[in-house]
Amino acid sequence: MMARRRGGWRVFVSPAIAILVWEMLARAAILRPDYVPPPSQLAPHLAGLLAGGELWRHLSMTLYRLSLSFLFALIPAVLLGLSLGMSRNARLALEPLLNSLYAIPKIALLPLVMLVLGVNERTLIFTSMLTSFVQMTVSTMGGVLAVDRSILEAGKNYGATGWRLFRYVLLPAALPAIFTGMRIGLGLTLVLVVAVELTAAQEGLGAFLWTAGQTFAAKNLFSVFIVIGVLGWVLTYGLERIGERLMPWQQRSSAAMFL
Amino acid sequence: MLLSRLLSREVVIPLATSLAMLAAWEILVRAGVLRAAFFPAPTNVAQTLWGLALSGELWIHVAMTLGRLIASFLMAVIPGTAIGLAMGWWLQMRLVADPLVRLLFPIPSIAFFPVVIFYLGLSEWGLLLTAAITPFLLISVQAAAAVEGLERTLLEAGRNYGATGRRLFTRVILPAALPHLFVSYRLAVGVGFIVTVAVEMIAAKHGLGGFLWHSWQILRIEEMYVGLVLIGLLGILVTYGLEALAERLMPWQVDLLRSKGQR
Repeated sequence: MMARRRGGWRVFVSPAIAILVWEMLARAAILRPDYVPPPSQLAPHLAGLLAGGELWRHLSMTLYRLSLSFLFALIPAVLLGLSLGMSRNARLALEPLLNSLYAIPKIALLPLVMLVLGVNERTLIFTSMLTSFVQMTVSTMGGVLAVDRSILEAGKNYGATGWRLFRYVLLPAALPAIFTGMRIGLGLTLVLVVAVELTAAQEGLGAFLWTAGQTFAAKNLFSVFIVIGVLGWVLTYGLERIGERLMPWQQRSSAAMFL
Repeated sequence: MLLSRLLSREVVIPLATSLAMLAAWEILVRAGVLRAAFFPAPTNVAQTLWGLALSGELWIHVAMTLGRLIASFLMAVIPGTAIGLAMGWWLQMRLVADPLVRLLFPIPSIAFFPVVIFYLGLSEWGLLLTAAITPFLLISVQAAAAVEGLERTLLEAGRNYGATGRRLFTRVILPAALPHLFVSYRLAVGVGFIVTVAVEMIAAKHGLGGFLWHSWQILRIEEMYVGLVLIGLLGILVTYGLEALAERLMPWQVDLLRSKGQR
């Protein structure tokens, strides 16, 4: 973020040098091209994969899983987070469960979900969905709890109660935290989708990556890795931009990093 | 006094609901409503856990995972802190390293695994390195941001009192950046834990992730639950234990350290 503003074109210098060094090492036969394919061979290979249908099939599978698991989690998580934030008793009752779920890496729940739902598409999506769900619930609840009491008081003094207080005071004040939760949730869900695909899927970028590695197809391995990386960048930096656009008054908190 | 605190809502309600859920689970299984093949009764899981703990098998896995977590964290924290602080302090270092770090950081941590083991094979180093990459990047980004975000007045004051070079660094910069560093360490351990478990599930025989995966494959469901419980306990330790530790060590920074809702 700072580099973009401060550095301008200079941000591209060191990655460019890194790529150049990589190319030269491969040309000089210091790196074995069958192990570390040089960029000059990798680029056409990636282009070829993109021109063919296979990579797109895997990519769309991953995107499908990612968006479904995120969207299914979104509304229930925000609703639950809001209610937990507003009702102390509900919070006290559900916090042990929520905190335990929050602390467990959701990938560890994959075997349990497979046991109950069977090894199928629903299982993969459900496991990834749990990540988004827990993250967004916790963030939304935290957002409501962090709303400045004086804002609520002011709203009440102006006669806002019940739905109006919620709609015009509480919700806008909690919105940045909800958005942060969505951003982090989406990032974590991508990790989970890839992890689940590495572990238990035949299709999807994670599965393709795993197969490439196991069959020593170095060019495939690197190409898919790049595609997954681009997906990660788009999600992280893209959502960061959208957040800045939607809530320009909101300073980015440096602690809210994504994974 | 103590009794009234023990009977307050903050203690009674969470405890009561947790116990009620466990009891309901137990009863539903006993009554045959929940299938014991999928959801073994909590008492059965506890028995299995006890048995595994006595036989010693459990401790091997716990020690393995804990060891991996600590080793990969050390592999991340030392270079991460050094590079991050340097990035925050020297413009040249930032120009070189920052774009690279930002390039790699958003890549989903687990995706490094097939690439790493392509070179290192399915070795212990492969697992450790995979679990160290994203934490390393996270710590460097945050350490750099911590130094950059320092208040200029602090630096000015330090300089006016004659602190330069190393003294300025150890006496002014480091203490001021410490809380931020600690937050990044905590987040990094959390990420490292997720990746460690995932990697163990995919490729390790030992460790809690491996144990979990193995018991699922041979359908020893009670053991699978034992694995889950232990991973959960370790996760709670990692998530909330470090938070509590940080609050103890730096009580003046509670607001900053409690960033759970934002994580």
